[in-house]
Amino acid sequence: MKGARRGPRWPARHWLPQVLASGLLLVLASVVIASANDPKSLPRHYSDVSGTLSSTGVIIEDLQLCGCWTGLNGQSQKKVKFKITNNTTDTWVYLEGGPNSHVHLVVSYADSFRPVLKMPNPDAGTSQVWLPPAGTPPNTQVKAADEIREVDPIAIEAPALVTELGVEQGWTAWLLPANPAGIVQRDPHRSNMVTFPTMVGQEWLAPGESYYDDRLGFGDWVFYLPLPPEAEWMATSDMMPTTSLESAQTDKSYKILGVAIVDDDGRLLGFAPVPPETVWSSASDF
Amino acid sequence: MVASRKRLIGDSFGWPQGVLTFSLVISVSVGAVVSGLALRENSKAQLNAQVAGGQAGLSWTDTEVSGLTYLDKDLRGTTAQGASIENVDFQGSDLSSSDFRFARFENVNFSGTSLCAVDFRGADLSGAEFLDQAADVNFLLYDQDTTFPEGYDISVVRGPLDTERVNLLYSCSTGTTQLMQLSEEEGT
Repeated sequence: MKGARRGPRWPARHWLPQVLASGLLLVLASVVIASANDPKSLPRHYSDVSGTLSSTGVIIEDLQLCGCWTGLNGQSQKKVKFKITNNTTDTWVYLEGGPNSHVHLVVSYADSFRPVLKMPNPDAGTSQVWLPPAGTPPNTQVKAADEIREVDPIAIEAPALVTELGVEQGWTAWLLPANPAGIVQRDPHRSNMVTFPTMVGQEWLAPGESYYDDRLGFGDWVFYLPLPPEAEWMATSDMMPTTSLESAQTDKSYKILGVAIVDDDGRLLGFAPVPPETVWSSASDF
Repeated sequence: MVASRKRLIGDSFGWPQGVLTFSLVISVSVGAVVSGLALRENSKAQLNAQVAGGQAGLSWTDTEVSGLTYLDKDLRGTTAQGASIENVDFQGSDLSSSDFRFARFENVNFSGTSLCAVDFRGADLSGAEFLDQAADVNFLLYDQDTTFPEGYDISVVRGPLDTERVNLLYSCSTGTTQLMQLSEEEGT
């Protein structure tokens, strides 16, 4: 035993840097692995949003919101269509959805509820789905995600913006990112039913560019809207997108305030309010 | 609500009778042509003054109004809660952000009129004309007590706003968002 202890030993000045470097690599690898596996660790570059609702940097026009309330995992589906124009000189807008989407639905909830978004995860495996002629979009191939991932929405806390949004006492406005483009979820209870897909024809909107697609089901962004426990029945009644729910009922649980474009630094580049939800705006119309 | 309703009757610009009389004297003095020009300029001045003071539009709350014509006028922010409005032509005018709660309309022309963010809750629009030809009905507010003209396609307007909302965000011009207060309760 003693002999073994007397074996060749490196001077401290030789092995210390290697141990430190190895430790650093180990820590970095752990962070990377943890980021890949933990669905809640998808980082935003900001913790709060700044700016004003009447920004002219990015213009949102002709905004439509579907009258659709059903969905999966205790969430409603919301589909919007709009024309977007980037009037900035130096900011690119990321049009496709996902956890770091620049396109958000602004929704206020009572403070007793903290929303956690469960969106399709295209990184965990997908299968091909062919949307039928009656689908939106019709006759189109999309991917169905095998798994979901949780995403923490960002709360809007800047006092000036809270005031501009008219957020009521005891409520908080949240930014819900759009679903990843071209990805749906299968309804586990109905094999032939899937959720609506975000369908956007380009990934980035350069300064000076506009984007709009008037084709049925294209130029659409889809959001999953977490529902407070007392309102989860809205999502489970049926997968058909149109029901008789109206703002009088939904307002008690949540209020959709508008669509916001927020960049990686938390700057509000554009905003458009939405009218109260109505049965008249069918998801199959756009 | 309409117990002490005022009366407002005219045939041109909807001015009070005293002003019309004054205009008539001016007209007699300087001639019909000059008078007509002055009338238009005065009307613009009145409206501009209201806009400059942050109070555009007409003030018709609890007022009986009849026989008036407003062609292509900027009447944004009109307040006409509980008003009785008959034989009025709003063709081509901008009535956005106006308050017509519990108002009654009879033979009122809305052709080409902007009704963006107009509050028609409790209003009787059964006598409205050409409501289906209004230029803009975005954020038009109505509730279960609103009466629309027979045959009107209600699907073209959003809502109804049968809700306990304190306020409502709306936009009547691109890139501009405003907040409409719907009840006395304060927001934040």
